[in-house]
Amino acid sequence: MESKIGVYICSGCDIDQALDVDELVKVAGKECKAPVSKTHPFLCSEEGVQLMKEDQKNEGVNRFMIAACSQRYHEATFDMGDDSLVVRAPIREYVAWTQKTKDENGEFDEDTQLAGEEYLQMYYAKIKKHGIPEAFEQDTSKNLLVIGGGVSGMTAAMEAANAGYSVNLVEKEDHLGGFCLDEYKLIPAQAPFRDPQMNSVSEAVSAVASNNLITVHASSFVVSISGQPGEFQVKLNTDGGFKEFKSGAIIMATGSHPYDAEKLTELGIKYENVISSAEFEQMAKSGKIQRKDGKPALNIGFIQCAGSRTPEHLPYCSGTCCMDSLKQAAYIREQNPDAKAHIIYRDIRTPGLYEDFYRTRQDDPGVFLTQGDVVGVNETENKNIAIDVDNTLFGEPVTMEMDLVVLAVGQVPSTMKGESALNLQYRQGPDLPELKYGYPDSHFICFPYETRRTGIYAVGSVRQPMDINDAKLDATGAALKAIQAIELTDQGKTVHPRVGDLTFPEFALSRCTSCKRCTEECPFGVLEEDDKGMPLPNPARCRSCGICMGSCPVQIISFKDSSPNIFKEMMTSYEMPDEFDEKPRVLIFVCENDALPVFDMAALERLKINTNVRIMPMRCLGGTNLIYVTDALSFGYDGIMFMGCAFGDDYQCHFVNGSELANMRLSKVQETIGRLNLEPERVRQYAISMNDYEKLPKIIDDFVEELEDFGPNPFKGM
Amino acid sequence: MTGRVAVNTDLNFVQGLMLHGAADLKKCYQCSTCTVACPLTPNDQPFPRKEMLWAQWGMKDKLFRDMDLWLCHNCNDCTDQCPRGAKPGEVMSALRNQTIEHYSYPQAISKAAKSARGNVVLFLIPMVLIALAIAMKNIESGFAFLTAKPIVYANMLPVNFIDILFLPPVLFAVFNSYKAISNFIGGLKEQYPPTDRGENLLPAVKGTIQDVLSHIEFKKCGTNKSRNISHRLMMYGFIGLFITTNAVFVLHWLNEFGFDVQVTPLPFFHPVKILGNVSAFAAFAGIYLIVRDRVKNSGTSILSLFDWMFIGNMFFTVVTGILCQVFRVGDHANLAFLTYYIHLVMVFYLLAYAPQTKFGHILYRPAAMIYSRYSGRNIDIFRNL
Amino acid sequence: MNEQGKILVIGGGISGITTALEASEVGRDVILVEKSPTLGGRVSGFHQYFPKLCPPTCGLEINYRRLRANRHVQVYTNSEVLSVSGEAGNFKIKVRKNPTYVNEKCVACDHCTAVCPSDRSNDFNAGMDKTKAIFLPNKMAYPPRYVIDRPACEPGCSKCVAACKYGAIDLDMKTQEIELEVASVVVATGWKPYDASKLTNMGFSSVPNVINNIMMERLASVSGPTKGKILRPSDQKPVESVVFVQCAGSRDENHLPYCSSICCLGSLKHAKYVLEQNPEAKVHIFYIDIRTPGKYEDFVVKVQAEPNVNMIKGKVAKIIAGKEGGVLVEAEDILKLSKVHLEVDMVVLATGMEPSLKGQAQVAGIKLDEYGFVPMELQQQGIFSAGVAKWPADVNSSIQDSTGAALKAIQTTMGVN
Repeated sequence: MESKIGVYICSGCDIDQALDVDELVKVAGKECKAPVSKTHPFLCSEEGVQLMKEDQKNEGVNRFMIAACSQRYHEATFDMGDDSLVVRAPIREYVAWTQKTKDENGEFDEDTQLAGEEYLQMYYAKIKKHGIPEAFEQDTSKNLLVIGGGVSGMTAAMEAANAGYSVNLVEKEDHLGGFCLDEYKLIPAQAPFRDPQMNSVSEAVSAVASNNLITVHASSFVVSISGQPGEFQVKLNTDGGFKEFKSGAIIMATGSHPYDAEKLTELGIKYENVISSAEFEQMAKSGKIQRKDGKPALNIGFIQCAGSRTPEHLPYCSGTCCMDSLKQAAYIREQNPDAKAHIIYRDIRTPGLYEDFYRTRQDDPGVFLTQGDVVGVNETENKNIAIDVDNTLFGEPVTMEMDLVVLAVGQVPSTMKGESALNLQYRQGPDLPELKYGYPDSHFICFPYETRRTGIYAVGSVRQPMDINDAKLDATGAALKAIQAIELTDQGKTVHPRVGDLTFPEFALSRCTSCKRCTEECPFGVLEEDDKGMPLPNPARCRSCGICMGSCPVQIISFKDSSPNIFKEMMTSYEMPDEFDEKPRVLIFVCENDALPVFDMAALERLKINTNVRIMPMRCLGGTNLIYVTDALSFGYDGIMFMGCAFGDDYQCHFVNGSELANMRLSKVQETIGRLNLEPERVRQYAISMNDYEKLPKIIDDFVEELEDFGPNPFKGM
Repeated sequence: MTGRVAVNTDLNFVQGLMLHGAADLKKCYQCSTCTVACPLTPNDQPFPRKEMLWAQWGMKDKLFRDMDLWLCHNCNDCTDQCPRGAKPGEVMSALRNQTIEHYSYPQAISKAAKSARGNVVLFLIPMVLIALAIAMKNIESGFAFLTAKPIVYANMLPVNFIDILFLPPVLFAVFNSYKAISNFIGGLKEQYPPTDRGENLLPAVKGTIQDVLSHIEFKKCGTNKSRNISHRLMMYGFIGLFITTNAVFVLHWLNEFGFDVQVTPLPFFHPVKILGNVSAFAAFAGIYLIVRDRVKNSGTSILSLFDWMFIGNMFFTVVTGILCQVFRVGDHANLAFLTYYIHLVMVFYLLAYAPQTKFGHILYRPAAMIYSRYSGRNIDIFRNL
Repeated sequence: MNEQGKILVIGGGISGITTALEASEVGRDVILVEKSPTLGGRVSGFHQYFPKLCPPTCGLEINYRRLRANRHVQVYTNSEVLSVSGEAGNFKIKVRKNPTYVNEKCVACDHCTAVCPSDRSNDFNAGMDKTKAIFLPNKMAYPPRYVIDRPACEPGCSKCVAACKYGAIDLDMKTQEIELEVASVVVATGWKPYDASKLTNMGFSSVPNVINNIMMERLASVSGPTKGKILRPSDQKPVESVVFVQCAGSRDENHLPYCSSICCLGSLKHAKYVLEQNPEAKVHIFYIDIRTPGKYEDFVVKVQAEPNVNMIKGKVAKIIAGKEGGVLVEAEDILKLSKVHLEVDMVVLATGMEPSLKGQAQVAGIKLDEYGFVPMELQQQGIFSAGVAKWPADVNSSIQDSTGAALKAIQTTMGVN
């Protein structure tokens, strides 16, 4: 279908107090050569929208460029239907509210007017080059693969089946149930959170086994997984034989194991009456809480954080051992009213309603609790264990002699075993990339389920330390995410965070140099390589962040709505003021997730933004290609700013490392600039978060001021 | 291993405590709100948080040597603010009772004082002794005192008899007290050796007497502010009654030795009589207020039998004392003599078992307070905030 | 998949938004009802999240973008669910839409506030400053639309009506009651800070410069009353020393018997706020147990390594006014077996979470436990809870929980038990 562009300029919201709107309409007609260009005093009103709808009907306008407020406003109001394209040019925020308004004589400011006109031309260039997004097509399997048949895996399988999805459940042992199956009792799962509850995992095992949507593959492991969400090819080894099937999404619920107590030599594990909490659980289950010599254990000590919260062992807290030891203290008291449990903790961690469990155990006269740091564990002549404790509640170092000592050990994710549970046939490796301690990388806090492999969700104690109740909740959420991935993939759309996006990277492979930068830098492992080393896209793995586009040294990667070409067209769309105009131009590449809304915030506050900057929104700062910088400089821009998320350990980038990659590229381009006898400081990256709008004007002013010292870009007008 | 204290938990001790007045002891999670709430604690090694811990762990050796138990005046500010409902005030009180039991000699008496059955025995002793004495005196006369007018209690049991009857138990109590308190102070010294900041013994005693009489500690209380009044009334009342009793004793023996002094029954306006009556009413009012507060607070405050026996005893001693006079003046002979008999039994119980019952606190507390001054511990007491 | 019934989500905080989005992105129709005029809930008032110290507005922005692009979610703000009746698959919901007096024509141009003569206490900033009677609930408000606090208006005033070029103000707007039919319900009503004035020994309402943790968030926030400068309220002096009082109301049977599970991390984060503005500031954190489970342990290790952070085991139980706006604090340093007396510029009470529904008019059909939470096991089939409505939780686990709740709600729409 032929495209017809209409430019609609709103004069409301004081836009007409800063900009000569009629002049803008003229620019749209003359400079941009827009077939339709109109203004309206209240474009988001019924009449305003009606105006556009009529043009859609009568004039055949199908590309609407709305020069008004930012996209954060009235998205639904300006929804012109599936067959029309809408591009918003936020002149309200970028110009009218943040730059000089009319003076008292009613004269418009020259610079402000210029900004309005230049933005108009930039966005017109964009809408002109904008391609029509298309969904990808594939034959989606609506089957879920769940790896791991413990509580997390079984819950995920059950919950998915309850929503009507079929599940392949893979377990390496010959039976389901996982670690918790063998527990004597469980911590309480619901109010009142007072006493341990009977272990119900075996009932869950039978429920899963009898569910006809769930196929259980016991004694099995994944040999390989290839493909992409919606059409993962899964190969299993079951008792030496092979099976193959297709799955739409994957849940990795491979759990954790207790930390190896043998490593806790400083806590006396070599003594016969020092055991791990896992061993104690089985001892209690057998009903014989006793010493190695068979004598009943009457004085039992628990050493909390055994190996946990300890840099040499596990730096993190497992979050479960306090509840577990309190539970085990209940076993002791229930099996022998003369036996005593002594718990030496660093902090009792029974958050939330678990506090009630702690309170109940405390009430028991035979449960003794103190904070303290265990500094020595020694065996006495009669094989008792003397625990030396510092920093106690007693206010003095103490020692206590026990018949039996239990080391409350923490959780280690199954990923630390060194064998891959997924065996992904991905160029970037067989596993989910890890962040720390063997736990997978995710967008922690806001979007905890996001892993770096689309359609593959880690769940339960392999995702982060957690107890059985958390694991069940976690598994339910992961099942939803897996189902969501299947459904969105089936519609050919992207998943989180650009949900529903229909634009995917396209590769002009005829110009590809097989440098492999895109396949290496993609944070989501989307791209495989063909035998020539050229990228093979897997659109269903893609989050459409554009990082590949930024990485390509020959600019062959593009999206329908953003591409090296579009950016170049945008930045060269207007006439660059020459070096005698004293109108420097600064281009700001802005991450649209975090940094771009900061301009909206500044506008709400009516903060004044330097009139010489032009904003260029990016899907992610990682999408900025070096060529944009050199293009911009050669076109005469005096300086270039990158604004995106903070990176490093506490990275905030929604695409993991986009802003970090941009920074790396930037340092390279700075070298190049230096070689051209330009000041490298003309190009700089800033970490901008949503909270920085008050600082924004000064950051920009300082940069522009610094540029003035350098003088105009010598390439201007060349 | 130097400087490391061996901790041995004692489940029986903990369970015993929980049965005898400290039922909520284990609820404490060591936040130390109590210690901050306490208006009486020193800054260094403050109480009662550490006592709560020792008690939870059954560390009785620490507790029995702890002077802080006795610096606590049961304000209950701690109990009021305790976020866990562990009632540190009650626990301190129960621990004091345990300490009295621990040091008491013979232990059998304090053990008996804790139980209902034991108390029956403790009461039977004076009941039988006094009944026997009355019988011995009056069997010949055919109990004529019951019908003789006016009612004269000496007719039932002359003062000589009473003195002979009461002197041994008083001496017994004095001896036992000495033994208990000297052991107690030995324990205090071990746990908190005297420092050079301490006062000399004499000023320490003097200061303590002033503190006790002025009730300075009680005045700092928040929650149980009223105890400043009630405990003071009771204390002064009993001091008055103690003086009265001794006065009567002195008058009697002066008379016996031929001095012409007034003997019982004293006329209504005799100074000793006035002192006795005023004291009795003060004590009554004090006890009444205490009991009233305790009943009112029964939701938050659980008292053991040990406590109730003490309060009950005091109460009935005073009440029977007052009633004796009422019935005598009202000329109800049977009631009067019966009440007098009960009164004697009560007084016997109070005096004879003083060091083994809660009454013993009049020994332990001053001893600890004197030692606190003597050892220098009281210097830390933060008296303002 | 839309032949199945709709899902009602009650509460538009981070949990409710998550449930609504996650369910709708599977293709389900969702109705999201929020009591206040904007979505965002508690997190929208936070300066930063622990442990990454990133702004919550960042994640909210992504979620709002998802919401704007989503045709399956219908949002009712300033609306309350009055009752839930019927049964799974077929619930009848009564909703009351309270008037905001500003309609969807509002463009957020701000002309109205310029003419508004009346002020109101700004609840978004915990009452520490004022807004006009017509105001934008906050800069991230969703929808980005002004509202009028009618009782705050001068009687008879209609200046804003005249100032609005867009006909967005309707002072005659009426309360509306509507009925909805849904298949399942997710309660995500969240929490409110425990009323610190009930902690009589903490001086919250009697001692100047004793604030709660919510106020601390607002003081640190650039959109707060001090534009992000941590100044003590009585005299706007930059804070040089501060005491954090943990378990202020939580783990206390006289107040909130449970642990609120976030306050430790909250105060550690606040310590970072203070030190970021003034690295010389002295920070004292008084705690009973530091509860930073799982990977959060890294955060406490990081904060503890700060030279000016002093962590003291022992609960503050007495707070009184000191000299010249100072605050005197008393506690026992338990591990040293000695009392501590400090005089500092400001005291922050780490007040706990009280479920929002506690003490509110009961929503018929939703059952609360003794604490005011909405436990799943008490609800009839088809009604679920998510986030802090269910039990105390941090943002991350609330989001997890809300994602799971979305699946539970979807299962119900499909007739699964």
